[in-house]
Amino acid sequence: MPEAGRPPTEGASPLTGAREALEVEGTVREALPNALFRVELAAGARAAVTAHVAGESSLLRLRPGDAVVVEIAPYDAGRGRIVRRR
Amino acid sequence: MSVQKSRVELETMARACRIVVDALDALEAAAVPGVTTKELDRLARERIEQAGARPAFLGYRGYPATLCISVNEEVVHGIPGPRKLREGDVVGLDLGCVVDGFYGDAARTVGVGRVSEDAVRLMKVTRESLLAGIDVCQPGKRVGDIGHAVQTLAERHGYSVVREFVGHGIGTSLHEEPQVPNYGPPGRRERLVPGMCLAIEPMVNVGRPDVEVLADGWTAVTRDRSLSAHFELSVAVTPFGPWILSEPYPYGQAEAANA
Repeated sequence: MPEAGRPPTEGASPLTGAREALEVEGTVREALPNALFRVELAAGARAAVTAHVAGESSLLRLRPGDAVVVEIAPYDAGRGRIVRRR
Repeated sequence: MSVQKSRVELETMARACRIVVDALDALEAAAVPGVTTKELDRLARERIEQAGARPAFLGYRGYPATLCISVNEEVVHGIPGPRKLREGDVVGLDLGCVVDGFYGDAARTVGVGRVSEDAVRLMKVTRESLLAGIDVCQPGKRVGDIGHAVQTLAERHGYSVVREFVGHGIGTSLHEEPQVPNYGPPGRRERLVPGMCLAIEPMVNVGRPDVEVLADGWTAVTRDRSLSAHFELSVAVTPFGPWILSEPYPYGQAEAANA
């Protein structure tokens, strides 16, 4: 009698096993060199992350206080990519 | 991590698995046009109880019968009832029992009377995919290798494998860790170690892999209502490779002492 399956790793691709990045909301706290920003994550997320901007040049002009959406890599929760403003 | 079983415990599990497979033999012979699925359930229960075992599914999470009987587009967990089997039906028979606290679980899909060539091919490929999965059960391999072998074989024949239901560890419970999916990449999930017991059970569809559960809360059917087959055996990992628990220990007496 088969058991109802649960995915072992949430969001894992059934084909490659690769996990997708997690999107979380945050607020820019500090601009760092090389288009890096320190982002404080919204309630629920634990730590601040160092985040690189993804693509769009409009994101380069982010300033402390801006609200953004960050993609967090599943294997390194301390880093992420800013994917858009919110 | 599944609990590793001792040689003595494996022998008890083997007894349970043999009772199940013997009952499945009787059920296969009895699956003729006109018989109701309820009658087959009664036969399954008689066989198990005559052998001194207890039905494993009856009452499991509220399941109301001894046997799961899944006809045609039904994938698994079909509940026996007044339905009469008809010539050409493709019938999944899934059965489990408990002996001295240890579980045995096995399933097969059989044709009622003469069935279509397509159905014969589906059953053959599904059974072969189970055997391909069992072949992988060497110490050091991983649970993901099993699913990969099953999926590769089934999809090579143009079929799809069901994702929503999975095989499982088995022992003093019907469902133990680890889960054993019939799909996915090789080299992942738990490492196989001697003494581990797994119920490997590919569910293979002619059409799309998607399934849905009917209003009875149990019966799973293919969403596109395509034909589905299901084969299952309980297997122990030994230092020498897989032992299909319903069959004699395959690695000789000298090795048995080390198992």
